[in-house]
Amino acid sequence: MRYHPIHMVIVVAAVLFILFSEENALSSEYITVQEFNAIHPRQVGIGKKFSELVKAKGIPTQKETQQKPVKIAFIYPGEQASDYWRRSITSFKARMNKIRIQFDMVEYFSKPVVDYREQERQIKKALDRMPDYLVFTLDINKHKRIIERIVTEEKPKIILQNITTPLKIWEGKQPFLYVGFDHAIGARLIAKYYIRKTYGTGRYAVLFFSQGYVSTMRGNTFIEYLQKNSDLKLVSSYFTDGNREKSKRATIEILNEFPDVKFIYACSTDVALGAIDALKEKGAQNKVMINGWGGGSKELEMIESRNMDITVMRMNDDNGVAMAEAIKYDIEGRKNDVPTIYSGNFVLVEKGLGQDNLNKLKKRAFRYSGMN
Amino acid sequence: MIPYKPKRHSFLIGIYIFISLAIFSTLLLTWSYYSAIEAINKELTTSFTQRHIVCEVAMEDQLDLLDLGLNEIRSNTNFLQKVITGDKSGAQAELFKILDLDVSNNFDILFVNLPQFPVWADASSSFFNTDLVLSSIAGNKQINRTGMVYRVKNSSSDLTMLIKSIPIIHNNSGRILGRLFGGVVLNNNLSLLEKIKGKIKSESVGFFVNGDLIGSTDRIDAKTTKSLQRARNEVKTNEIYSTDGLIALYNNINLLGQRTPLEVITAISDKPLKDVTRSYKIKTLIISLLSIAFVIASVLIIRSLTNPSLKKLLVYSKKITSGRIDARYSPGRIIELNQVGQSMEDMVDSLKAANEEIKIETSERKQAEETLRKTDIHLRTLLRTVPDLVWLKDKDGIFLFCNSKFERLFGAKEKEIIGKTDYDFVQKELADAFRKYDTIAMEKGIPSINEEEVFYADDGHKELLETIKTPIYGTNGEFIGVLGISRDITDRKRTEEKRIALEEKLRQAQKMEAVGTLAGGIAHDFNNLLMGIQGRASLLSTDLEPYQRPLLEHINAIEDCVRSAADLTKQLLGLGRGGKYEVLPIDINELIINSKKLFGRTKKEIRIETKLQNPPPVVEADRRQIEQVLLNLYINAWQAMPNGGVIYLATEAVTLDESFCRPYEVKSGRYAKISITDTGIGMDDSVRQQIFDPFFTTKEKSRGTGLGLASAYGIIKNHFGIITVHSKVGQGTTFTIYLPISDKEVHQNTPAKKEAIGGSETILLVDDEDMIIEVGGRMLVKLGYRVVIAKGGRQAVDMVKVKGQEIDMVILDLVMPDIDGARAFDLIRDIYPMMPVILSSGYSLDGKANEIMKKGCNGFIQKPFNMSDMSQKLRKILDEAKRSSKPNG
Repeated sequence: MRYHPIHMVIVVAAVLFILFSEENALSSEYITVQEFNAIHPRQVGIGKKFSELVKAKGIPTQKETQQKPVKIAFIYPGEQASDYWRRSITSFKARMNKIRIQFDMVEYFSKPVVDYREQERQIKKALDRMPDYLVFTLDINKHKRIIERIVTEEKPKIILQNITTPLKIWEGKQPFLYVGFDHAIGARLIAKYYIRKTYGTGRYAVLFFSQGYVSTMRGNTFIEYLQKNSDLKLVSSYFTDGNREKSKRATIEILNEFPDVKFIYACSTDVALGAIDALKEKGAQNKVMINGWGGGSKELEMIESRNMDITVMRMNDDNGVAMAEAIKYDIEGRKNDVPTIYSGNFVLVEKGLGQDNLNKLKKRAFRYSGMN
Repeated sequence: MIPYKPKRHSFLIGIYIFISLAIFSTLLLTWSYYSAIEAINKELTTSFTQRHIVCEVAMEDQLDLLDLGLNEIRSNTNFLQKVITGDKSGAQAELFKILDLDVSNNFDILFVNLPQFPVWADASSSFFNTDLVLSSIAGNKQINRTGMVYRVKNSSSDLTMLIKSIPIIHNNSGRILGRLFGGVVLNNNLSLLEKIKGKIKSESVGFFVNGDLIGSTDRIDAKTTKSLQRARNEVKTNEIYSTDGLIALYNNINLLGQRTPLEVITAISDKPLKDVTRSYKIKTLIISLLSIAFVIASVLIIRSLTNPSLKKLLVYSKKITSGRIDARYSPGRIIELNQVGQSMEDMVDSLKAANEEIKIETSERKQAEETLRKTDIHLRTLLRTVPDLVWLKDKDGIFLFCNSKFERLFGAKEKEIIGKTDYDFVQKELADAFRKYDTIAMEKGIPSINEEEVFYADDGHKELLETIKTPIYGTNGEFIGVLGISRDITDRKRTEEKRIALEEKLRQAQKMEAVGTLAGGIAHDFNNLLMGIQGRASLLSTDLEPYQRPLLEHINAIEDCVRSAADLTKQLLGLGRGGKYEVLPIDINELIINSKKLFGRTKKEIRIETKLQNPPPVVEADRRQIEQVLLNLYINAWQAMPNGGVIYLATEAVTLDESFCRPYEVKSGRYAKISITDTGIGMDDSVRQQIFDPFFTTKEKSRGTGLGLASAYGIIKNHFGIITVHSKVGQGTTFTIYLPISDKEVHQNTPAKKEAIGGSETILLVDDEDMIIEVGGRMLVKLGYRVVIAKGGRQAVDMVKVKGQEIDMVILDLVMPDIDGARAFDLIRDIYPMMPVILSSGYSLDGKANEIMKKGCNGFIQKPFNMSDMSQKLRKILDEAKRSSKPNG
């Protein structure tokens, strides 16, 4: 085959183009809430109003609004120590009933992370039922690849839970709702706590979740914040896949290698529980501080028993309420009043907090899912 | 030819430059714009070609990744062991394990194909319906390590994938155990699409297979996605398509030199194209502004260069225009303009001479025009104000003009009349008549005159019009119309009728005057003759001897004849208004009554009725003459009633006005009206008109002289009165007499003595007739007077001068050849103012005699007179003269 000079020019130009394009592709995969609001300024107002709606008691929809029950498919990594997912569903159902939305819900719970093909199968099954809404969480890249197959479709509408930072590549075709608690905010709250307790000096270790979104948002945000705002040195970090046992083993290794660490930052409840197990075993409970993440029931027990130093408590049930109110607005034809991102509030809970105060927080956070 | 508005030369040059620049700029911009568009299209084509290559590279990368992953799996010992041992579930579990552990592994399709089992161990994504797909894939021998784009479309699924297979080889024996298939589904493969989109910096990227959209970087319901679908459907491959703010191009993907069914469409924003358009708009604007600036600058420069010369030319032309034709052109920098200036100078010189002539002509023309204008105004004013009706019609009778008087006739304004015909305003019969005279004037080509009585529409009054219709022709002889002028001749007609009547009366009066003069002359001479006869008869009778007494009968008969003849001469003198002998205030009623008695006694068959005014009217008149008039009229009435009848006599005091009196040439005032009406046969107009003519009679010769009514006419006229007649055949006749009423007392009539009275005084008898001298002298002598004779006025005066003391009275003839009676009277009275004078004449007491009487003449005696009449008159005057000469006596 003979090459014309023009072909050479085109090939060279293409190579340069690729190099240039590659540089862009290396930029961050996610958009923070602040970045998203900057791109979509209207979202700020919409978000505020929606937050007020979530905090409110809920107004039943008109009967004639809904012709038939909405079909909702929940696919949750619910088989975890954290009761976040369970409480979300409970509060969601309760709010749906309160605002009198008829719904037909199918729930799929799977183990987090590892059961990838299982989740695919569940999604397939769920989609075969032609749901109106698919509630799903996003963790590893494979999840993203599954969601992207349907994110450009008109149906089902996707609610991504436990994520508040939209994917950059989905800009322009974002899912119906991102709902959760901003990991970055929680991470910064805990970071500030540790800076205060350590006066910003000393060494620390990090126990990541699995590789993926949660680890990135909770772990990296925390590390970056400390780097910028303190002299604390990260000496060791582990991916634990959210596994309590793996976390325990990783903690023991850390304590053996770096016995002077002032605290170990855990990226989830199960990870924190594994770390507490290790601290107990090594008798380092009062020497090395440990945190929880989310303020679920297990964590609060640990706070009460003074085994855990600090946690960020999510006003858990607001997530379920937000999903219910978003569906209600959609049914009512007020899709534009639904924000793309709903981020719930956090409260910092430290060991030693009185029982009454704790109960008040629980009552607020679990207003639909209950105190226990 | 459409007139154009003149412009400044700099403006025209500016326009020319501007248009030239505009055309040039437009052509230049259009050419460069389309060149740019062409360049952009080439650039776009190149750009899209580059993008497409990047797409193909990305797809090949994807194939490389697949190859890498499959190699990794194939080389996994655990997996290979399970395949060798035929542990299907074990092999499958190993595949899952590898997928879970390697997050970079993106296999959607992953299965093992053994010779006896097409799909032996399967780890494909359960998200896709792969049950029927996998066997199809496994059966496709073209899917090898090279890889390909493969579409499987069946009832349950439609998947397009990048797929390849590699052999699974036994480590030791090298035997091929089977094949490992691995692939990535392209349907909605957003990661791959976004990756490509990121690499080629496009707005949007889509996958098509055989025209079906299988994936897009945008939502399926997004506008961009729809634009991509439209682009795919509406243009051919590798053809640039612009829509909804996007520029798109699609092309098939070639993998390793092999064409695949996969088409990638890439779309970029059309902003670059818009930028070019915008850029050219800005350039156009800038060029336009620069052009305008250039034009303005050019105009200014041209103006600055040409204006001084043009101004000089303009100044020169203005000087010429303002009349300063002696001005000279001052040359400027532009040769052509200098030539124009020089030509203008030459032209002005030529025109100067011509101008003088034109001035004169213009002045004359203006004067003529002014005169014409004034004339026109005067004419129009005249036509409008003239009391006549004036109008102009065209050949069809349509009004072209009319004046104010005419407007009254039709009761309409001129503007309402113009354009219409007579038929629009008057009845058809009258309009026909109008039209008839129009036609006559038009056909004959000469004016027609007619009279017509019309009623005016404005107030309904009537006028008799005399209309002249004149055909009007233009300068070229063409017929224009008929000019009508109507004049009201109602008064003129009436006046003319009156004038005719007056002329008739005047003619009658003149005739009577002539006849009267003739008759008077005859009567005078006849009276002189009669005087001779009478005198001789009187002398003869006094000289008769007793034996001659029988002759006295004859003398008396002669005297009767003289009296009859004298009566006749009286008639003649009355006819000639020969004067009144004794004018005294008389009672008309008494005169009527006496005359009625006198006439009634003789005509018993006539009954006379009277109706008299009380108090009785008094007039100053000669009683005997008026009696004569009445008797003449009675006789005339009697003769008109041969079988008898009634005569009605009436008197009345009336006042006659000027209009009534003027034809009769008498003064207006109070009059005594005397009417004599009979019930006789009457008369026709022809008779009536001649009734007062002398010698006119309808009677037999023996019954009348024809002088009765003529004399009556003369007597009444002599009394400044009026006599008229009214008669109709079979209805009788009325004569009416008007005499001026007098305020004086009625004179009581006393009868005079008839015997002769003598005297001894000396009397100067003056007459040019020898016969009168002789007879008169003898009669005076007979009466005892001493007579002195003078045969003319001069002689009489001389004798008075000489013997005036001896003369007691003068009998003076009126008409004499040398000095007439009037002159002689004056001269005698100059000598002897108290000298008694009696005037004697064959004429009656007419004008001249009356004048002498008014000067103090003592009496008048009418020839012929007899001795008795003369003696009484002489005696009376002589006695009065004596009484007046004796003071206190």
